[in-house]
Amino acid sequence: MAAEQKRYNRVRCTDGISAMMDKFYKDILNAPSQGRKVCWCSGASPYEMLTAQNVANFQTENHSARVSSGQDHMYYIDKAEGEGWPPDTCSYTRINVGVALFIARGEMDKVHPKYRVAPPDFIFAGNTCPAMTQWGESLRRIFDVPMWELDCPFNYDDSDERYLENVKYIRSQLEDFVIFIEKNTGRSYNWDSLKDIVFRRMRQVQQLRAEIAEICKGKPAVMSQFDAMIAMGPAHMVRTDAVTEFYKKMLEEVKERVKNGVAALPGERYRLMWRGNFPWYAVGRMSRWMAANDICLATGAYGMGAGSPHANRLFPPDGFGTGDDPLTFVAWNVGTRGYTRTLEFKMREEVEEFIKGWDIDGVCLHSPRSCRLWSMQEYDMANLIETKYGIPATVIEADHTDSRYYTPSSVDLKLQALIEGIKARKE
Amino acid sequence: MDVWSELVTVTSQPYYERLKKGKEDAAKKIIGCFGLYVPEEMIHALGMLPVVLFCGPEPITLGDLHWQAYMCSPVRGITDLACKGQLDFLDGMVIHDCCHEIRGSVDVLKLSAPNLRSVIKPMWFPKILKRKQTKPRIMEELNIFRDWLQQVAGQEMTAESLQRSIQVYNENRDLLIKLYDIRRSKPGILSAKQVQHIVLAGMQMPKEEHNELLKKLLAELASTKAPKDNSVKIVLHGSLCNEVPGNILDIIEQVGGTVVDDDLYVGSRYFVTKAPLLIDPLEALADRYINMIPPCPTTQNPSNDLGQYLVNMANRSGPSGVINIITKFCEAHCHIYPWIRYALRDAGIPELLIETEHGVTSFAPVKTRIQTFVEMIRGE
Repeated sequence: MAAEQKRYNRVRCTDGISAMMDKFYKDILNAPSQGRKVCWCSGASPYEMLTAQNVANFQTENHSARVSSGQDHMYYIDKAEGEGWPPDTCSYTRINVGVALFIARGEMDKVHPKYRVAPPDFIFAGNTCPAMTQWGESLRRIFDVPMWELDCPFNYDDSDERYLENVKYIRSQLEDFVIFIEKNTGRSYNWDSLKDIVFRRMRQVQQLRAEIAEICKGKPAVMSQFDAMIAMGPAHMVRTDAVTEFYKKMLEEVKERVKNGVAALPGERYRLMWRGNFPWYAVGRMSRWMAANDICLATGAYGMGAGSPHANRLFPPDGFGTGDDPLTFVAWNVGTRGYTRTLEFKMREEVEEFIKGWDIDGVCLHSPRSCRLWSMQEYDMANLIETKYGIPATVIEADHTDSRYYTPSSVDLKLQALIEGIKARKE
Repeated sequence: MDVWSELVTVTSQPYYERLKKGKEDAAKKIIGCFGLYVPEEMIHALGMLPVVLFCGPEPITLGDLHWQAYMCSPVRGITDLACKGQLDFLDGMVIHDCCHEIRGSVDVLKLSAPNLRSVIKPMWFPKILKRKQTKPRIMEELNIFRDWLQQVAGQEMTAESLQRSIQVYNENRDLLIKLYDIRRSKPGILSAKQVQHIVLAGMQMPKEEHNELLKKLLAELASTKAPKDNSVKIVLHGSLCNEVPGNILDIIEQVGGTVVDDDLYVGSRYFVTKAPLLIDPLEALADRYINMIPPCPTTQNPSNDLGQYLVNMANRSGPSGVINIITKFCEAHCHIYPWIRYALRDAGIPELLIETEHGVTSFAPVKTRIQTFVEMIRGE
């Protein structure tokens, strides 16, 4: 295939994300000087519960992805591996542990200024991914601070009755989490703030993202999955009105693109879906390669998830729970994620919805070597996609933040084979 | 037949081959147990045989159609056996969700082994052990599990029968604890491989029969003198849901080491925690899980530290070294490993890490490393 210098036409609003995230992490670094407590969160976490209490918090995965996007991951991975963390542990963990070891030992100067954060006053860990509580446990030991863990049941039984029992189990633990937060911040919990975040800000962002995703289903795509993934950070962590404004701008921009006939990739020939997290260190390279080969990476649950029925259920149906109980909503939000759902559920709500909604020609399933959560079941998923939907799928073996497991030529070859498969079906 | 011959009869051939043959002339239903904490007593209480599932000795082929090579071998190996129809003799297969891969294997097995699809039963226990929500939630899961088992067995489980089964299992645990006491007090009286055979046999045969064999064996060992021993004492830890390759156990002894204690799955991790005797036997099983003695990296209980547990075990055995055996790609074990290493180092206990992988572990370099480790402890 010709390696033309063709590029994705990125949405302009994402230019502001870097500054937004820089400010977000600078605020974490400066939090202690402003009298704010700091919490490091591993796993899908109810950040809103911490933000509501004015606790500076961040998702450690996001921080590691940030390090890897800056191509600086190996420095911190080397630190963690040198201390005994095996390469088979999640690479997000190894990066974060590397950062944590420097900070905890008073060697902040060895952390690049961009990645500096204040040490935690306490840790939160949620086990939607089982590795996350072990990661949190390592942070607890490294910093010698309290930790609170959320136990998230796996939903083997997709029946509503059993599912609601699981939400209740999570909610019951969140009541204890409130007590933990009160104890560690030394003041009563700010329920008004939590309600404002949950019922106003999060709902607004959710609705905006759903509207954006709906518009992006059109052909040609007005915004790619690359933009959607870059825009995930603010959506998942930063519970401020600035994020609402960001998504309002994004919505305006995609609407304008539709009006003016602007495509994310002019001349798109193949529409692919991406499943899984992304090799963050290779976003630029992969987007250029795909653009040069007329491949529009149009969608995927990791980024465009706002448009799926799965994500719509981040807010429970009317009449569920006690109506205006924010903890029920938080529990629902944490418990409904695909991480704790069956293959059948994931196929239905995280694959089929996107294949059909975006009229996808082929699917890339990213299998990160050090991430079991995304890797497991992918061979079977690829087979199911081919048999159920009649489109090819390929499993791309790499890693989310450990570039040693990413071989560009091998990934290119797999994508080329996928495109050949699409061509053969189209002909 | 002497005790040892009887035990070897159980473990010398792949368990599925032996059980398939036995199944032809026995009415007893067999329930496969995959994952760490299946409450086997409940299966036993309904007159069925619980069998802990392991990989077979042959190379993994069909399993690799469903799992990447960087997934752990227990999951790839069980999938392989299931795809080849080797587990079709099971009347039920309980999968205890104790880690990512085993969790994911539920759906993979349902897809890849059609004959097992209708008999697979996943179960989930809380992972955070010391919380007010933990026990009620485990009780819910145990009740669901009991309903399923009763359907498979076609009969009701009574509190009395479960109580009896708990007693049988606790007796088995007591006997194995005694066996380990003897091994500690008479180093070298049993080889590490023999001990693994003994524990493994109990995981795959009726507990009552295993108890009888253990009683005979203990009587023999009581009158056996300890061999003269100037070898280096070794404590083994790891292989959290599979066997230690027999070659590694042999190597330790070949180079002058003696395994005096272990924290292995096919070892003390399996039996060291007894169920309390309570009025409600289901509650006793919940308590057994919550109060497990060996700290498990798949659960959270900060007051029960695995590193300290191993330090205590090594100290109880006198001056010794600890060999950590990690099954390659066991994420749960990898995450806790640095803290085990720190704890042993801080206690001045020599430590060695060996990674094993089904069918591809190269034993020559392993031998060199173990030999060096043993010589280092001996001060040569």
